Amino acid sequence: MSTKSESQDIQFQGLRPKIPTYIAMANALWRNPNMLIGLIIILLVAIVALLAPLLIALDILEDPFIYDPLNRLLPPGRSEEGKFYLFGTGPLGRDIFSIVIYGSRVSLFVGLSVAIISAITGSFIGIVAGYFSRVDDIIMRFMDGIMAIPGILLAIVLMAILGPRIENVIFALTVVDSPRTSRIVRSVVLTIKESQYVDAARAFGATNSRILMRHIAPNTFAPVIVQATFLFASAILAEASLSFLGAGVPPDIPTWGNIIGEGRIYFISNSNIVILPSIGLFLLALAINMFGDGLRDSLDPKLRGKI
Amino acid sequence: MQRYILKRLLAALPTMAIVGVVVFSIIHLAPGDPAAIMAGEDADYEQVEAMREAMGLLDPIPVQFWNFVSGVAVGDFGESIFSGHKVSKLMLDRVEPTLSLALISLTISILISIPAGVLAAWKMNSIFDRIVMILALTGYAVPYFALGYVMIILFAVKLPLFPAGGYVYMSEDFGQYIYHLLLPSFVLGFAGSALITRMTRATMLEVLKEDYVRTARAKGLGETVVLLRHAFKNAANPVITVIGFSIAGFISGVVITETVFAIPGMGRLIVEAISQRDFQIIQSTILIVAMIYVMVNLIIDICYVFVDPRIRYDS
Repeated sequence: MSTKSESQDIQFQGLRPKIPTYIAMANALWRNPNMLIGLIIILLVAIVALLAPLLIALDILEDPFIYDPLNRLLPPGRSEEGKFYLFGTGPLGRDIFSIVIYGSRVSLFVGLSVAIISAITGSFIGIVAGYFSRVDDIIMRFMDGIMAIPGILLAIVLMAILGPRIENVIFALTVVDSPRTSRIVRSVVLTIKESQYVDAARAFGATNSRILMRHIAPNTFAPVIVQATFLFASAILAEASLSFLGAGVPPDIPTWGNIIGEGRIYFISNSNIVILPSIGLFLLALAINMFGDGLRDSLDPKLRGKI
Repeated sequence: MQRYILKRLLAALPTMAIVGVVVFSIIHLAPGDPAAIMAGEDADYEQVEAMREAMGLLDPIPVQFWNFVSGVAVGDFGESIFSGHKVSKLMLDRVEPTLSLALISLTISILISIPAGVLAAWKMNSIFDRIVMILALTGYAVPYFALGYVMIILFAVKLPLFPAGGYVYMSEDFGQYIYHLLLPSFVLGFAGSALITRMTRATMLEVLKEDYVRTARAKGLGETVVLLRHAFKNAANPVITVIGFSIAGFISGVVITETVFAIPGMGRLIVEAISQRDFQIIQSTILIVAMIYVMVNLIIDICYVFVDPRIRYDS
């Protein structure tokens, strides 16, 4: 499908002025309110995440690292000492609102890192497998093998071996997500490889690396960007799931998954501990997916409604 | 057709072999010394060495791999380091809850998503379509555990219709077995139906534009027949593919749902084994789960033959 639009682009290059990508994106945002809402929510969360340490330093927010056993499991509202806990406190007396605010840092950091690293490694593997047919079978069988292990299980096992650290969460989720990206990229490469302009480039004596860099890699960009947004959302959910199961970020770091895992046994008496951070998680994942949907529709209209 | 099935079967073999290699290498090539972990934090050098000997870690790697593979081939997964029980026995006890949960939730999600997707495509841009698409978007973003807890609070605590968790074995009481599985299966089924609904809707939209659908309508067939016999049958292939994809998601979801609903399945077994660093259980369970996944996909590949006659004749 990209082959066709690409060859049309080449035919019409002299006839029709090409609209710059950023203007196309701005148009898409304007025409697709869902995408705009998604982007606004993401940006809001990002701003809050960036400002969180400042808010804590200015004493606007409680320090989410501080344990306060005397004020544990408080319902939302004002405590007897007169401190205000908007979302109540957790089993260790930490202020849940601060954890929700501060936890967005970890979620965004892990989600973005996994999305970017998986997109890069997945593209690299996919391009190599798709272009060099001699190694294709070996690489893709190996990817199939990794994909046969359900993601969360593979991530849990890797975490069990590597130990609870944020870097390890990112590594584990990248291992899980890269094969799927590589499969998408490979399928794009396989169609482009057969196109006339690649034949033409080869006939002009272009080397493999030139064909890969100039003709093939740029065409994989759109599907990879779309895939990366979805990975961003799924990595955020996966990180929370890992932390929830106790196999993620170290428990002393305030994250959404950690506080939900901590509050797990109290969820009937103190449902605020589980529900409120979950809403944050849900809204962020929803916003990213809404943005991703819009992005896909504007970059790759043939895939509308799919994936 | 037999050739096609045989080809699929043979194609699954290398995948399984690679899963075995991956699982084995994770345990053996990763940083950290499983023997030291197993022996405990305050074990001295001799104890760690003894543990290494007992675990067969002193053998050359290929020998260890051979021991692992040949054991698995005859159903011997070794013993749990922590409890000493046979891993095969531990897994056998846990298979029923996990498989039941996965299958019932898969059924629920197919029952939700295919009618929803077909009707949403049929009434494109209607209120119904909008609601379906919003629900599908929600299903993508909602964390399993959050949905699980919300459902427990709503339908087990506030409105005590369902048990809040636990599991009853099929052989004990079939009614209770289904009753205990309904809520967790719905949680998993709802989240899992998002992808299938969207795929059904998208392929139906394409198929409904085809000439043969117009012809079918023009010759006066009822909408139900047009939708199901003429349109959906042709849209079924990609939908089945997506169902195959989502099996992996279901298995991942099962691990979390089992924790939320206190169901003693394979997922719990792995999570418990991980907190005890019981690598024997971990590697065997992962292998079995991956095997189930590959088998299910094999079954799905075979389903194509029945849905799509082209495959029957081509191969």
